[in-house]
Amino acid sequence: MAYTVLARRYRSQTFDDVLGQDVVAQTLRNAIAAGRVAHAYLFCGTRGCGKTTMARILAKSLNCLAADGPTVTPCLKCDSCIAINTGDDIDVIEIDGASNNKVENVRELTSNAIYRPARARFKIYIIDEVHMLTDSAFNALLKTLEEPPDHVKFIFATTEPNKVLATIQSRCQRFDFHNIPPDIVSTQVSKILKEEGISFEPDLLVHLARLANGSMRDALSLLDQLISAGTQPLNARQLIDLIGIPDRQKVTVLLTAIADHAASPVLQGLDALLLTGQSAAQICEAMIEIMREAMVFQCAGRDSALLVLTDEERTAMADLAGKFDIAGLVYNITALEKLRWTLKNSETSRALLEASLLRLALSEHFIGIDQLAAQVRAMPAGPVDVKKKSLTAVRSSGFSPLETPGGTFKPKACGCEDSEERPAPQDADALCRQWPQVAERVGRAVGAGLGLMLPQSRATAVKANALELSFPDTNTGPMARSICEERKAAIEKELSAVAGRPIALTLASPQTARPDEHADTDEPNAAELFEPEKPEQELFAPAKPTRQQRSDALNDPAVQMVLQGLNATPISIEKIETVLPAPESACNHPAIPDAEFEEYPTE
Amino acid sequence: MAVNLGQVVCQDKAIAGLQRAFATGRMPHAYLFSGQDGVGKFTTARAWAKMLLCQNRTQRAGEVPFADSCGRCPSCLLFESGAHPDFQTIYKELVVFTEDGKNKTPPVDMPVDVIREFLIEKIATRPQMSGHVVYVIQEAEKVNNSSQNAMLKVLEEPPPFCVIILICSRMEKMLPTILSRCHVVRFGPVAAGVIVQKLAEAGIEEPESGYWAGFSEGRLGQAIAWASLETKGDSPYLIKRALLERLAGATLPDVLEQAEWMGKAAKQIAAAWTAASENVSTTDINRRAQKGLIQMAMLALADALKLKTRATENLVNADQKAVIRQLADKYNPEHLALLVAQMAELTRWVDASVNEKLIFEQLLFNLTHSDIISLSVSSIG
Repeated sequence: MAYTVLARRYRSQTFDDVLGQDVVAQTLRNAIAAGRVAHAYLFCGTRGCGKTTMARILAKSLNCLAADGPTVTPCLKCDSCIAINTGDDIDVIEIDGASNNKVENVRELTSNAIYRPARARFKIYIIDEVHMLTDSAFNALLKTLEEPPDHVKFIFATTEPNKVLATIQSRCQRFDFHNIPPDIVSTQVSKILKEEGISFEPDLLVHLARLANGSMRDALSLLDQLISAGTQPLNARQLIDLIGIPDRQKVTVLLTAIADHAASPVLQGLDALLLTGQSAAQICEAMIEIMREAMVFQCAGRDSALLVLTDEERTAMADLAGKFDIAGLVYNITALEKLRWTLKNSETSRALLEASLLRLALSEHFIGIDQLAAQVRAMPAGPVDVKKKSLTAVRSSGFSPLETPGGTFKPKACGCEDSEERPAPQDADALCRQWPQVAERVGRAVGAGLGLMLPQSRATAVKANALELSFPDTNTGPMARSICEERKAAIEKELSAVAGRPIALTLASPQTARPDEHADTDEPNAAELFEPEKPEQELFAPAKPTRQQRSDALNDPAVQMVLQGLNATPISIEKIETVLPAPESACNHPAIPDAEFEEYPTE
Repeated sequence: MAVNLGQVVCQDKAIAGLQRAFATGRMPHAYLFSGQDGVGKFTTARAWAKMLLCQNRTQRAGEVPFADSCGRCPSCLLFESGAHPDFQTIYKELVVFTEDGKNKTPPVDMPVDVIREFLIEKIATRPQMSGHVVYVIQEAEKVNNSSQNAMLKVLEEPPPFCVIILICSRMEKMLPTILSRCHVVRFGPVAAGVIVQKLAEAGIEEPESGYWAGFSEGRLGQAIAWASLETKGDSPYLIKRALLERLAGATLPDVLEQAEWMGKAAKQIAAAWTAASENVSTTDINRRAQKGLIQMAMLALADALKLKTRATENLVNADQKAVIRQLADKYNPEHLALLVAQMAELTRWVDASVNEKLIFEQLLFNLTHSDIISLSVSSIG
């Protein structure tokens, strides 16, 4: 079983072979040609970008026995070159810094350094993963590193240069290796595949290059797995199926579901991803990655070099990116990024991820400044809403959904088309007749789950421009009502947009619908005092208590206790009209007649 | 008991990948088996090792030949008895056998000494009876950074006869340099149907088995362990039913009482775990029980959220739909999502050694907390 993985077999052998590190290679070549080779080098860069490879090439160049002195073109045939390639030359000592990180190991090294090399010109110490040396080990090395014997060269390689002491760094020539650009990775991969005699589809290269993320070894490791797992011709589908990277298509489907505020498809999409053996954290990362691409797509345009995508993917990305705007994407990325940390440290990650994605799906996306500005310009006098949904509704008010009987009301994607001709205004009766569709549309536009809630209600026309909603006395009815109450202003705005004329909305009180109550003008001053910001509540609130009753209720010892104990502020005092005999409990019981408080504990 | 490859359930995709690599002769020297706990990673690793070491492999023809161990040769027999000289399992508790580990207690992380003495120093040892030496490193996610760095060199260029298998349930804890050196094999969750079937074999029936299948999120080992816990009083399943009913009916005044009940339930479960497992520290077991309870609550809330958003497929608590409906009616969807996130945060508290009572009280406060308190008073005059 003497199979060597591709990453080892195709290690570059000369400076000319090294890919993506032209600057470093050229500098080293010049140094050798000019006879100005430093005694210590520090190679930094991410995994698989060619640090160890470069160190070995430098060692070969310095020690090649076929030339009289250091050469830029090592022969690769002499004993020394061959031994260096396999890592067991007696003069080129390759040390694993991670396992020989103690000060004793360094002492041993420095005491051996004084002896001359056995057969070659230099004794070269290559210390890989040098960042793992302990502080004292680094310090023990300082003196030797500053002024080593003439025949000694040091080459350090590390992925984390920040962990290497500054005193070490200042004694070395530091080279920062770049990540290998995607196009170089794909060229090399295709070259290797041809050399191995394996057929493949061109799209595979883009996928591999993207997954490699700047590391040649990653690309070749993946390729190795693919070759051993797949059947020829190799294609991207196999890469996804057999190696199990998060499927872009599935993630895109999931993101589309989020953009469409569709709860059930979100869960199905997530389930499909989890079934492939992805952990929740990986799915989260994949989502962030694709959202990032959508963001880049929107900012930099379809053909940006920042996106490593196949043509097909670019088209799919155009669809997805159109559903989001930049501000929304930034918000989602932040939310997911925060979630990722929690997911990594959580054992019940699935339920958490499901809940968080549903939350994203339900959330309202904020609109960007530019769109807001456009909106302001378009309707200089009208009110401006910073939520995207309202924007969609305002835009789409150009066509009247009510004129298409039984049609589904899809909010128009946020495009740039101008609104067409204004529709004929609808009166409240027309709205009532098509209430289920209208309600769903309005609810979706307002958000906060109202897309599901609002259709539960029944609408009756009070006047030509006033609607009254009553909610069924089921389990969800009261909650739907309270949500509608909170978002009343927004709903009215949407309704007005749909109808093309201002529509006033009232909510029937939970027990019985009593439209007459609206005409309550008792104690306007007190109402203003206590409800300065909610004048519209007067329309449907229960009868107001008198001033005397108010102050009595406020001075009640129980109320006082709650107010002081919770540091609370009274927000409303209402008179409860239902009088039932025999009060039993004093807490939170509607049976007791008098006044009811709602209080916010201030935090 | 080491099973043959053919007997591993529900991991066909992972095994097919392994087989294909084996058949083409491009077998990598380092694997990383990744997937949740209890989906069969270690079982597969053992079966795979057994096959590699077998002296008389069987081949089942197919599109990709399926190699398996014979189960009869000396190598297989030795393997089954757990004494194969060419099969090494490395786990953190080995620390007591390291040079200066005589008096060490079982550690939380994989100590670097174990990696050095049992992997790095032994890696050059040639196989004694088979063509390979197989090293299986359990709980690789607990190998800390310096130990992972120590492994790098061995993983990159091990001797040709070595096969190293890392078993890992948290891939994100592995250094990228480790991942790029390994062939990652992913283990998906076991299908709920298979778990139900396996539980039925163990004498656990619907709807209980259905719940555990959902609870374990596809971790077969987990499901079996929870379902077969033997408590003195109620079984964990009955505890879960009671818990959900209590959660649905929780009100602010009786939070403390409910929290106390949860504490008792956690103790009961912990006692059962202690009886069922040896060698695990009591802290670990208590945490496991607490996390279990929190997870039950979290799943119930997640279910309520699904119900609320009309995504009713795959309710974990399908057996208590009425209770879930009750929960769903109490909160709006945004609140439910927040509650689930809060439950996840509580799980983290468990690991941060927060007092158990505080955790359960916080859990219930989260559920009963409301920004608006309605208060009715009777009139004085």
